[in-house]
Amino acid sequence: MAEFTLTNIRIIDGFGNDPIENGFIQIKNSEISAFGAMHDNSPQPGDKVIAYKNCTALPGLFDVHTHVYPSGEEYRNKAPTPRFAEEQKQILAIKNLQKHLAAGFTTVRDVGSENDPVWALREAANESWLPLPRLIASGKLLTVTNGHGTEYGIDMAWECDSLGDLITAVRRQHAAGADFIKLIGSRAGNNHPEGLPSWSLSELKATIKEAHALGLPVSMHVSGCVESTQLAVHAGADSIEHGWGITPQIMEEAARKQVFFCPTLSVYCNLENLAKEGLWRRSWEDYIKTWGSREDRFFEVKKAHESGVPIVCGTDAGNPDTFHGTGAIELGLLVEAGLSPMDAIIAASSNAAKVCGIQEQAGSITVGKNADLLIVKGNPLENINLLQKHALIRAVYKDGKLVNTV
Amino acid sequence: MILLTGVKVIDGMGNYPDDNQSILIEDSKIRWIGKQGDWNNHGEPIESINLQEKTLLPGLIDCHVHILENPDPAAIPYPNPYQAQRVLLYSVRYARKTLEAGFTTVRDMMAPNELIFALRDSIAANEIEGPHILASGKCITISGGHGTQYGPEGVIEADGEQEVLKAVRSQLKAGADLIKIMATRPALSKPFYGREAYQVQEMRAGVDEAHRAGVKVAAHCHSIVSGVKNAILAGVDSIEHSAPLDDEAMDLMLEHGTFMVPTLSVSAGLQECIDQQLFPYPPGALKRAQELAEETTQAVSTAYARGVKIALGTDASMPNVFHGNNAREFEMMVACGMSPMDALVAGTMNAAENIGKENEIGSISVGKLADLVVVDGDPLQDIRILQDMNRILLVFKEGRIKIDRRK
Repeated sequence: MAEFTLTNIRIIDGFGNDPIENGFIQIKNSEISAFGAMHDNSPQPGDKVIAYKNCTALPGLFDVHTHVYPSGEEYRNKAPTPRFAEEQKQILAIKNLQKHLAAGFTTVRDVGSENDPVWALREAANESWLPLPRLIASGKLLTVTNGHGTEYGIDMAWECDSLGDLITAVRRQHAAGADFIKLIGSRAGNNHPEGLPSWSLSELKATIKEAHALGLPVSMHVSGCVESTQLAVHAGADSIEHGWGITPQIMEEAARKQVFFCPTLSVYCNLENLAKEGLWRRSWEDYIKTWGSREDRFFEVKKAHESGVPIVCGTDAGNPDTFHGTGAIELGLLVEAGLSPMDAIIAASSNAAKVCGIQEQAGSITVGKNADLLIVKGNPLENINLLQKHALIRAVYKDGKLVNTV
Repeated sequence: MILLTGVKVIDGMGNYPDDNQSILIEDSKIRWIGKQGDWNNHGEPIESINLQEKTLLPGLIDCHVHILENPDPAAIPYPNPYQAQRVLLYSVRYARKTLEAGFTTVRDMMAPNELIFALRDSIAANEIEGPHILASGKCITISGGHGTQYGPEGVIEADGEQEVLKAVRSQLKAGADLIKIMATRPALSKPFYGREAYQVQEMRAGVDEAHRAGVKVAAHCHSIVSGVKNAILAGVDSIEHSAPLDDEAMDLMLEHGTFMVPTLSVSAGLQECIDQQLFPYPPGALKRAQELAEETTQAVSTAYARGVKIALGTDASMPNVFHGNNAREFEMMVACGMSPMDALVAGTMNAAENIGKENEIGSISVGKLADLVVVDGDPLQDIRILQDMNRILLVFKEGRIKIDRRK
């Protein structure tokens, strides 16, 4: 379909502007060519029209924290490893990515995988060789020797213990084609799995400066140790992931610098549930002692949002029970924590596009941007959990092409 | 349970089509075939699909594809650090296109082992959509023989009976469903055009070992009729490309029950490339390519008249032989003189027998897998309609609708 118009639809633009209650969106080739309130001249006679009723159009949503190879089902499902598991991984990643697309998440950011497989996937996705969401990928992440990322037995981590190691790794990832650099900012110590920062402030500053000089944003996993979060924000990271334990003081600096905060409430809650069921390596009491409580998590998100820290939507899909395509659950959790439905949608659209570096092309319903759209029945501003009900998804468009209808 | 009603059935075995039939599918199999209105479901819930005016065929079978490869002659193979990863992604798309064309089973005839077996297993586990795949994995060839020009991952070089025996065992251990052996040299890509490769006794050793394991052997042979005869005498189950043939070769094939898989689509694909000035071989090979096309057409016409068993294979991924355009082979078989019904049988029951799956697929028979294709129109009136995707309305695989182009 090269040119067509969606009519009689509520439009949520992704920036937080008041929705247009009865609008139209015109799509030409792969872009949004016009949109606005329905009026006498829209659509033109002869236009190809798709009329909706009682539906809402949102920008195609983003899940900015995933690992596309594991499905999240491996933990409970102790099935024997299939014979050609290594190669089948690449095929299964297609399935994982398609789940995001079916749920209306038209862009996915992978924050830690092996390099070559994810570059091949990204090419297939971004050149529309396969019907997949747009993929932004860091490839291998940077961590300390034996740090987080090295426990999976695959080549997804550079072990960096000095500034030299870090700079080399940044340059190698840049040369390999990474879209951004992922740093694991906290490491084991102080009787806690992530009780110490991985590197010093000066090491981080120099690393981030090098990445930025090469045109690569930096995302930092920080958790379990307030100092690591503090260092991340001080040193100039573009986004912080998890950030469990973030303090008001850090929030204030993050808000000032517009550092994006991806709280990954989904993975926190899923692991907590596993611990409650007795299926996690820690007891539930231990889990709470190590990572804090659900209330702590929600409170942080609420305070950060109130302080003006830009929040982004990321599930950490690939972790146990954190399945691909469940970004809408993360939105529900953000709302439960205290964001309005509109703010949650911004976290998965215009904010997310900025953290991915593609805000010129996607992340909002704006003339000239890619026609990535999610059309749902009903109004998610009244109930964000509507987005979790796949039966209510009327259509998903990526680059103006229909990828799913019910 | 699904009941297909009112449909014209072409059973795949060559019988005159029955009109207005009902087919009952239960779980993954064909449970009952009969006249409209004869089935009493005793109140059990049943989904009924009215197929008045449509034709039902068994799921089509292509006995010779390379489903990991790109048929576009303009696609430059790039030495690329993540080529293997990319190939797997392409193959998912090719597998889907093949299924969309109504081909529910294919035989892959050369690919790196782990990649093709992974694709096969992912489809079999219903992780992704595609045809059933039977895969040879690596081909067995002489040192420097055909297949080596594509790189080491697709072949095992084996010389002498011992090495061929070892290669067969090694492939079976790796997970191959069949053995593919290169009986002759390549036609177009290297020197030694049109020469024999393996000696009879070398191939015999491999064939005997494969047959002991209950596994079929397919031999690539063309360009030199003595090479074709060597393969037949060695006891292979099918000869691929299979031209030129002489009377003695055909006598041998009839005597041994060898199948012929002529891969006529290769010639069509190459001619298109020549016409578009995209011939991907050295210019000196152009005349040879056209000769081979002639030889193959001749071979099919004569072998068909003699009663040699012919099975459908396209060699998809040869230049311009696109995955999803497999049905062109039917048209080409008919152009060689085969009747439309016999062409269809080549792509159904004969193909099933050729690949050793005659009990599971290849015909619309009670007890077989419900791999079925619903066509808008009658391919016996015009075999070309099978190439029109808009006319391939439904594709069932194991009793489930995989492709639905109704509405």
